Amino acid sequence: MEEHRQLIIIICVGIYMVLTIGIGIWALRRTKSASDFFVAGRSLGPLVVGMAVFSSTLSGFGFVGGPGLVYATGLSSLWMAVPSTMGYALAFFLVAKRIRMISEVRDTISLPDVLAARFGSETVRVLTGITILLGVLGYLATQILAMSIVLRSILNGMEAFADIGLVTCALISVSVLMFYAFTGGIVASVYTDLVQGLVMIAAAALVFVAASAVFDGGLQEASEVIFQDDPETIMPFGALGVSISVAWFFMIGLGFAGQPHIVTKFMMNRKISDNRLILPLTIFGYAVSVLLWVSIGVVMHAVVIDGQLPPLESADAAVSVFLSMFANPLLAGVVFAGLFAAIMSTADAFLNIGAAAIMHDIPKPFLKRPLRNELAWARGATVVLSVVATGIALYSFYYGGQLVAVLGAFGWGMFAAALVPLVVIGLNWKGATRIGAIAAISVSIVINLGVQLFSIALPYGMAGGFVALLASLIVFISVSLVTRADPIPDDLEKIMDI
Amino acid sequence: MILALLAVLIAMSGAVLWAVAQPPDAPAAGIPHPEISAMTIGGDGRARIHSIFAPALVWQSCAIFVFALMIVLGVAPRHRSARFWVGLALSTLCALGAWFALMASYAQYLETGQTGYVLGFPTASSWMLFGIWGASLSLCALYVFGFRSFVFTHEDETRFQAVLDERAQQLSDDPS
Repeated sequence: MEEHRQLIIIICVGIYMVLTIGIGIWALRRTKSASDFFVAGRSLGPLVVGMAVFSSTLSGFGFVGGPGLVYATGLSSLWMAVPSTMGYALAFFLVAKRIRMISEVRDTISLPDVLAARFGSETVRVLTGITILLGVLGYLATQILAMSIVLRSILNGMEAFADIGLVTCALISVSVLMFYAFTGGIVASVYTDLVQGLVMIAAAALVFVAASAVFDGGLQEASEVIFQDDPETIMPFGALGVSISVAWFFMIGLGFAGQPHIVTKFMMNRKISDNRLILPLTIFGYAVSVLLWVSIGVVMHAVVIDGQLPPLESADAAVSVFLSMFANPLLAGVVFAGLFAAIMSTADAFLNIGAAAIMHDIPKPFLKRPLRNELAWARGATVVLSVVATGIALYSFYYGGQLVAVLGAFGWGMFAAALVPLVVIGLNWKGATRIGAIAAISVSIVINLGVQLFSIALPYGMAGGFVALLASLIVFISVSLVTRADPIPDDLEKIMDI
Repeated sequence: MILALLAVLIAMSGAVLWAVAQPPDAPAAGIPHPEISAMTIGGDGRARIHSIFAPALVWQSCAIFVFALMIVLGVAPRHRSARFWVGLALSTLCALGAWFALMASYAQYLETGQTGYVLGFPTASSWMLFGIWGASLSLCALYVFGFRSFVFTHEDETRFQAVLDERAQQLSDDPS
């Protein structure tokens, strides 16, 4: 089996890709309208939504970047994973029910739709739409780049594909992604998320078992090896220290409820009462998947310190090196498929909300009437977004530009700072005002963009997104308290009372 | 409730500024590993946390209170029963307890240079990985088991259906 390692991996990934294409074709028949394309007609069961929520959350970061960060800096990055349960609970307590109700009453198909209805403001709609589009472009570009790099590393391992380049891999990756997002929209997206979520869970659980067996004494022996080299690395705040760690806890934990690719899933379930099942399913899926993040990172750090392996050229290689050295070929194939699953489950969610921002949210205030044939426009926007994001990804890779890094900064932290106040507090507090909302989004954009564009080094290495989130929350509440509350439409007021 | 939330957020900002105002005695965000590129090490843990131990303790405690207050905001006032308050209080205490236990065991390690291991990790790290994460499971339990009591009761469902019916009536009367 070992001599066919690369072939086995390619077959596993190939099976997974064919499966996603098949789901896209199936979803094509179910997608008849823009409502189907963006919110799946509000007809999804709890297992589908639960798997979709967690798999959309954990992108390639959870399967590549996260283990790489643990390899590089110890346990610091786990302060991004540890608040997940609290973050999901917050999202369900404060957002899931109300956004689902508003979605049904007002027939909304996007988060900007919901916020425009809540604040009675097209300015809020457009600002939210622009925020989402900027964040999506950055996130999507990094996901496409990650997919392309991983695919190239897999294919280059076989003689037949030794010379295949990054551009070709990018075209293959984005074609599969675009196909099922184009044909089936969110229906394809969430049903592939179901498959992707199950693959991720299986892959992570199997990897955890394999990683725990690398050292005879299990993870404790790996921890002891690291402790001997530098105790801080394996202590709770890792190499990066307490300030960065607790800042991440706040930004990531609170940020769950402001991520558009997560909260839009709440608009899609069949019944509000299903949320009772969806929350534990989501938490379970995420918790198991994080086992890969922890175990590979810790074990790879330990084996390098111990001299069993030479130092990695790049921290992001931790997963692929682990799979080639310590996992049997079939496990490696499943995990690589899981890796693609993690990346694509997030990328397709971004494609969907980005398409909504382009053809629905941003133009809506300027058009006199709704677009005719919205479904066709939605599909067109999906293609445009895919092409643009791929271009950004390849440009950044070949020309070393800061563009993806800048737009990537409009990732989790941007969504959190701009949207958490409006969504989490705004949907639950009648005193939240339109002016407060506009002020909060503006503050979050200025701080996030300012920190990145001017390369401002915050004290103790704190993330700009953390500062932006804290500031935007205080601004949102303070400005709302001193400005006049706008009248809330009767139906929304009743929903906020429920 | 919103004023309490604002107060805690401002207190948290104060703790952040307090931390930032303390000059660290060692590089707070780590230093490059002397032999292995692409790795960062923490170095002298005692020196780098010495001046910000207290502000960090307050900072994270405030963060936990922010989460708790926001959950109160998400539950309608008429549903904030004694059962809800007890459940939320217990969850918050669990989270705070895990955080203080983490800091206490970390401080003990800094003092002695020794640590025990629990579930494969140093004690303080186990408090982070399993204590803080695990304490949050109580919030999940509060949601799941309290769903029909204070999240979305049968009465709430009836009220929502009434809103839907009213909206449908409005749309049929005035489609524009």
